[in-house]
Amino acid sequence: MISDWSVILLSLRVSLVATALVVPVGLVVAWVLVRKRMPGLFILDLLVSLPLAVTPVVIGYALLSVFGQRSPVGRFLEDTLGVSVAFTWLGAVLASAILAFPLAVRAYMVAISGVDTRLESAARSLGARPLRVFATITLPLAYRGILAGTLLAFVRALSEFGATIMIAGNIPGQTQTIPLAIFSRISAGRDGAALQLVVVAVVLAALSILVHNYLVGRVRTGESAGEARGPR
Amino acid sequence: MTRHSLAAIAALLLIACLSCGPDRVADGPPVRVLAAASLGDVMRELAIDYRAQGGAVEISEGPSGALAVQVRRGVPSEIVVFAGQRPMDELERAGFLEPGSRINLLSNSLIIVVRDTYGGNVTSLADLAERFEGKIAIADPDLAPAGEYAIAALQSAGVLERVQGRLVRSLDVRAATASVSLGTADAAVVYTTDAIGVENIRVAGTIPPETYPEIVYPAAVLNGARDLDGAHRFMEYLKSERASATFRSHGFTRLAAMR
Repeated sequence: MISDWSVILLSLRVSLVATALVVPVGLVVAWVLVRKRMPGLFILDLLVSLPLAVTPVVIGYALLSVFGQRSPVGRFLEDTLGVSVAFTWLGAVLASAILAFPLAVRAYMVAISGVDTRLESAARSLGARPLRVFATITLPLAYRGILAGTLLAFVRALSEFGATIMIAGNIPGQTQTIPLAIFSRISAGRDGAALQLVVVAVVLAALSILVHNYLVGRVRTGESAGEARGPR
Repeated sequence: MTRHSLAAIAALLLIACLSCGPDRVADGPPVRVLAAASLGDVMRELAIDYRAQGGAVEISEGPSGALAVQVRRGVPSEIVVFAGQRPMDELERAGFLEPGSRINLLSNSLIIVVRDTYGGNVTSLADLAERFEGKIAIADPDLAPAGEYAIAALQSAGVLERVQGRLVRSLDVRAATASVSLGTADAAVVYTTDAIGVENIRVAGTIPPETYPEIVYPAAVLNGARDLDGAHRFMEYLKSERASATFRSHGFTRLAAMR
């Protein structure tokens, strides 16, 4: 039988990789949405939030339509590049990333919009390129909000079910993450075994929050833009 | 400080990326079986046995609707097993099944369960109407076939109207069983397979199978199968005496009759 450990490790792997995808893309999108003024941004804003508005099963259906063997995209990836998304752990990563994305972007947007634009202009006036301004001014100042958004994304990725079971299936050892294993166990009437994994999920969420709080605490002592520096 | 923790997170995520990718199965794709969630446990047990004999098979389970969509959207897979004829009928009409491969693999039956502390002597649906006061849980007939079968059985027994006010509709048949186990309902009409291993309940009686439509779990080979020979071999295994003993131990009856 597939042990709890392999389910947990797979879940962590999928959620970490999904979060690793969400962070850079999410930061760019959030920055564009906050700092750029151009027509059509509303559409991007809406697209970002769409996964929250429809049930995850619909997202899974859409992913299957794009990456299934009946779609040209799915066939191209499979035949030409040898990459299959449907029913592989990659599919689970994609599903988790898409469902986690809006949560991260919303938090990043709040964090970035809290950064004083005059500091960014000052850096630019001293000759810093936009990427440098972002990396040395915006990012450090928006750090706490970015961490919070990343935490939200990670925890959401850990709990992803509806889209995942559609695009990735529910194969023990391959694509069966914690939520899917809970579903299987409940379907089979093994409530006790399901409860074990529920406890694991709660513990993982608690650990993520603790890590987040620890990092935010460290940031508070290091950053303190206007406050006096020194030991707490 | 900030720079360091940023780097730490980046490193963690990088490690996660590099170490990813679950173990791949060697030599050719295994026979992939899409199975109704209610069959998940027994199918996985069979898969382990089949692998021990040198075969390669993997089980993916899910709600019937999800399985049907997966087939239609071209998820590479060899065999489907549903918990009802309707999704299989639809796939057959749409031309996704290997001609002649569809069989009625398993059957299930309806029973009455009560709380194990209940001391009364209820053995039939008529007893539930006459000598029983409590709430009776069934799966919601609008959502789950188990509910349709339960309603049909109550109708055949001529007691549907008398128990109507005491019927509690659950999300699915598992939830109906659980509501008795947890004490929110006093009795339930559920599948035989549902009572196995559930605490705090006992089987009060079986319901005559001629009083409700036959409960059938159909199986078929998909015509998009990557490995048709392997698919047929696993179908033969599912029909074998060896597999049928495992099915029986989970409460199913093997049909294995050609349609």
